[in-house]
Amino acid sequence: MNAPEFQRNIPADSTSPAASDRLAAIASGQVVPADIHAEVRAEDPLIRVEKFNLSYGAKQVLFDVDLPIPRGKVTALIGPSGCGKSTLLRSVNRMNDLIDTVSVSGGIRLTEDDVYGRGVDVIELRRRMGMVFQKSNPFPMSIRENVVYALRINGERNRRVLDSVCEKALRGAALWDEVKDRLDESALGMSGGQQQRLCIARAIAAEPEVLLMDEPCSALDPIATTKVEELILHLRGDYTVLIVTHNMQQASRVSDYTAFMYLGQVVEYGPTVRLFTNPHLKETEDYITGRFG
Amino acid sequence: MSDQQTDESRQSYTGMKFSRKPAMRVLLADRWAGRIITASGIGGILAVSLVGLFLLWVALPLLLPTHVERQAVLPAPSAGTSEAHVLAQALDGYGSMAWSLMSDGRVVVQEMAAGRILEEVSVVGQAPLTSNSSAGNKGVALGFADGTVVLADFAFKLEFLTEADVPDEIKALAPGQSRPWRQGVIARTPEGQLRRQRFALEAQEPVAISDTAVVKVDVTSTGSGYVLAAVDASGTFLYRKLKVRTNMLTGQKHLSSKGSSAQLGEFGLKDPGALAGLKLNDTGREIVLVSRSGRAILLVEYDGEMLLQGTSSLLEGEAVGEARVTAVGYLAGNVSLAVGDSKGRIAIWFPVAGTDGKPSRLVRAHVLEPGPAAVTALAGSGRSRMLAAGFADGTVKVYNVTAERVLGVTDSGGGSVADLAVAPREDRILVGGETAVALLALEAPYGEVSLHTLLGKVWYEGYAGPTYVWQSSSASDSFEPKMSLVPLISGTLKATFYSLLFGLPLAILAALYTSEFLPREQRGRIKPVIEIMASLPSVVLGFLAALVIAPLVEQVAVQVIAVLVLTPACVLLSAHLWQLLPRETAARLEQWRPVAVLLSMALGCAVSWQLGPIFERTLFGGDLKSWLDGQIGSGTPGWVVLLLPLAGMAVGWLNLVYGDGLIRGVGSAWTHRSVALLDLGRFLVSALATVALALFVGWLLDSVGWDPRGSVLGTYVQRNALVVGIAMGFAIIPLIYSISEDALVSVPDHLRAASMGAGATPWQTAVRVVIPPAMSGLFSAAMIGIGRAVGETMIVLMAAGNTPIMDLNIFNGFRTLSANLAVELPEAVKDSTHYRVLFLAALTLFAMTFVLNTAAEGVRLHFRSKTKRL
Ligand SMILES: Nc1ncnc2c1ncn2[C@@H]1O[C@H](COP(=O)(O)OP(=O)(O)OP(=O)(O)O)[C@@H](O)[C@H]1O
Ligand SMILES: [Mg+2]
Repeated sequence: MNAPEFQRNIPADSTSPAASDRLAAIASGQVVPADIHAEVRAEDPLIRVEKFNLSYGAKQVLFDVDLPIPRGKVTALIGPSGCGKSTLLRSVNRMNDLIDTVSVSGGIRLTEDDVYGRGVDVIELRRRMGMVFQKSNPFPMSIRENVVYALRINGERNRRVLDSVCEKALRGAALWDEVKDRLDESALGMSGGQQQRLCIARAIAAEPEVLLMDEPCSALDPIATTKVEELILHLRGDYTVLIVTHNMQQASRVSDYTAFMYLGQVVEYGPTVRLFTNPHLKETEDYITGRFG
Repeated sequence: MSDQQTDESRQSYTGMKFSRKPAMRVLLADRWAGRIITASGIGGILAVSLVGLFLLWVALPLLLPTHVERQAVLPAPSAGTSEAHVLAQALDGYGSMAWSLMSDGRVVVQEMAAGRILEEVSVVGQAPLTSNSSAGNKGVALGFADGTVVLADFAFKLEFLTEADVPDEIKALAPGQSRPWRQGVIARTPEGQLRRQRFALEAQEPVAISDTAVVKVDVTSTGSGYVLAAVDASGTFLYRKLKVRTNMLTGQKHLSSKGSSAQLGEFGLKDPGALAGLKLNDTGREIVLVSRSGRAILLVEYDGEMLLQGTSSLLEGEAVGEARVTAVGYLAGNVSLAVGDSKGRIAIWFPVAGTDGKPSRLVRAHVLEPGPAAVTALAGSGRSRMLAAGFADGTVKVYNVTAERVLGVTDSGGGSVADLAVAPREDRILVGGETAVALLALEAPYGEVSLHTLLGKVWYEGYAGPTYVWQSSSASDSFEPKMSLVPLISGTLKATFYSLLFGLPLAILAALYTSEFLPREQRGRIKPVIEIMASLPSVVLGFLAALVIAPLVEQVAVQVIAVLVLTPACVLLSAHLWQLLPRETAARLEQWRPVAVLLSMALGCAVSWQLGPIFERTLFGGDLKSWLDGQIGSGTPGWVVLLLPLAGMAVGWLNLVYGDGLIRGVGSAWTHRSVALLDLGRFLVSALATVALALFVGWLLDSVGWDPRGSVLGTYVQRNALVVGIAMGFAIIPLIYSISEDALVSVPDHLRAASMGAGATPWQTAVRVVIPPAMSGLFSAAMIGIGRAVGETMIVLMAAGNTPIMDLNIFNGFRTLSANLAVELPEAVKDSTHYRVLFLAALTLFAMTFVLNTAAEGVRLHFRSKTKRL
């Protein structure tokens, strides 16, 4: 009885009508220039990813990625699983340094500073960016200490400052009401969704210039998701947000710009409204409407 | 039923059908695996507890109760002449016969089965017997009313007879049986031989020493003859050295005497009748006179003259006026004096050499549990610290003096006790009572051990005061075994402490370095190398320590101390200098940083090497060893060395609280270079402050009068705790390193990512995020390291000098429980006290490691429950 439904889940082969030459070219290893809309080019970019290549050992994962990320806007990265979204995100604050096999070429600039330049202070760089990971990763400490971690490592000791930052960050992450009575309990006692919002609170507590979010809502229920989305919308303007998501609705709801990636390359990058209603490329439309991927 | 049908009707995706029921094979394998695992688990627990149980089994008899029991009451040898009472007695080695010297001059030999008198010999010459020395292995001196003394040998002679020599009724004796025969006792040994024992008396010719009756006499034999001490009725103290001359022609022996005399009045004693005892020690050069009123006079012979060493009052306490000394006896070795009084109290006294040229004095080292009536007889055993005491009401109490323990008490049933004799094997006691002779059976094989002797301070013979001593054996028979486990336990703890001090920080920091700061690939290469170190046999480390490290450290002790201080200082300095490099250059040179660290360590060593002699000259008066001996210099430099680490920590903490704010405050406004300069300046100031703080506190402590020499520092011994610390540190480093590295690596990477993503440095990440969840693992690593150090044998055996000394001195040796077992167990006689105490030491060791491991596991679980949801 279930068999027909089961069969439908088996991936369709790439000869579906939506697949075009561009994706086939990427799949065959060619570097295809991205279609970047003029609106994006017109913006003032805070981060500029330029001809960026990245390999894990011998395996190249990012190919000549060009991606200007506008200041004070929310930019979403979408694309099929394994296309390198998380890798790109991690490249921005050099979290890939923690993996020994990584080698990069090309550059990423944060305003005028070269992220991969010689003599760059990686610690300072990371303090300018907050990061929320795909999998929630609270520290085995109290909720309060988790939120103010970035301030602590910066040497902040003033209790009043810490408390007020803690409250604001938790409110921002829509968590305050749930945890305000147990700030000193271990963060490991929270539910998965709460933990993820705690990680968001931790990221925004340090007042970063850039917020990097890797599928922040994949473990959240719809209400929490809404709250996080409200938060992102609220942050827009002051913060530059780069968010990876598999949820098209979410991308369309929160982001100003959206980049569609495929196998380590950016295919199309433009204002979200344009991309979701009237993309330049047929491939993008196919992906967004769920006809492939 | 219906389930099966739907199963069959369901479409198969893979085209295969599988049974839902697990196969029989799987079930069987599962069941067997379960059983085997359970069995081996229980087996493991059993094996461990069996080891503990076995140790306990061997050690436990030490604590078994001891007792004395009256075996037989025999007729008194006075037989008829009711006036006579027993003066001295002795039992033979088999407990089958005894002689008793009676006050009327007869020696009565009795067999011990029924008390039949076998023989009577008279020792009386022209005048009645007036005094005698107690029975011992040095012969008996008999003093007579005419002023003569006879030296006599009272012995039991042993001979083996053939079957032809004896009548049929003797031939019929079964092995083990015995019976009186012809003035002796004949017995068939378990091997079937016939063994006859006879009493034999051999008396020397009388020696005239006085004109009046001899009222007190004692004798001892020395290499060249005899020494005699006596007091006569006129109150003269007589001291004679007797030489035995054998006439070449007749073979007769002849005694020549020379010596000196003194009046008792010179020593403050009025009346010879007031003397309770006169005792001569084994060298024949020290005499103790004890008066009934409790005054003891210690005399020493020097060049033929008697010198008064001192007097003491033996009766102390509230009843001085009323009590009288009623019995005096020697313990084995003839040094310790047992003194009993009319109130039933017994105390043990012995002379202690005076310090600073003061004469030796008698000290009361032990007070034994008093008896119910006046003490009438005291007799020590010939081979241990056992003392038998007889009381006026017939009670006999047996003590072990070292342990101050009552081994047994019984009523002898023969009235007031006149004399006592402990059998050579300590299995029987002969009690000469007023009306009867009693034979007591004694069972106290481990009487010298009590909880107090094992763990408490005991005042051993000849020591200035109660102490903890381990000295289990000696060449002499009358040796007092000193079996305190405390010096061994303290040695074990000392070895553990110093090796941890050296090994624990190194191992944990190394683990932190490889797990947090090294690329995964390099870590994979380094870890096995360090783990191979663990397979280095400890005997190799031991002999390296004893033959290479110990002599080397002895030569360059100051340099070694300087290395401990200057190397970390050099590394810190070079780190601050590194900060001065422009960022670009620093980033380019990043890969050379470990090399720079190594170079700065080498620099630290070189500087220490160069400065060592200068330090020795300026701080320790040019010679560390005589400084350590306390001969030169003040204690301040020692304090400085000891306090530097603490001062460093204090200054570092102050820096953390106040200094960091300073750097942060200017951080954004200043250039990188100026901030680095500021930091360097701060470091230099801190270093100076550290030295100044240590110097100040050290000076303060020294001026208060505390000198580190004598506690943590002290006389330098080549094989010492520092050497063991280094060698054993090497033994425990791989162990601690390996376990703590595993613990650190097992902290999930996403925590590191979160911390680094928030902008933490690797060090901050390690301290704040990685170490807390790894704490349980680090803790068990440390505990397992401690367990290894506690049980380690070869290294301490070879490098610790094995002197069972108890002190904190890092430059002194020690002996651990384990090394003690290795040294002494092969030589201990099976089932002897020593043997069982060694097993008790093994049990202690076992308990220590067991408790340590259990505590470690408990703490580990506690930590883990806090972080288990990672
Ligand atoms: N540490 C790593 N070592 C080697 N290869 C890696 C590593 N991390 C990711 N990759 C590879 O890089 C490619 C891109 O991975 P990435 O995690 O960036 O994908 P993604 O777009 O985030 O996918 P998803 O949507 O499933 O999260 C994948 O093929 C993956 O196998
Ligand atoms: Mg991803």
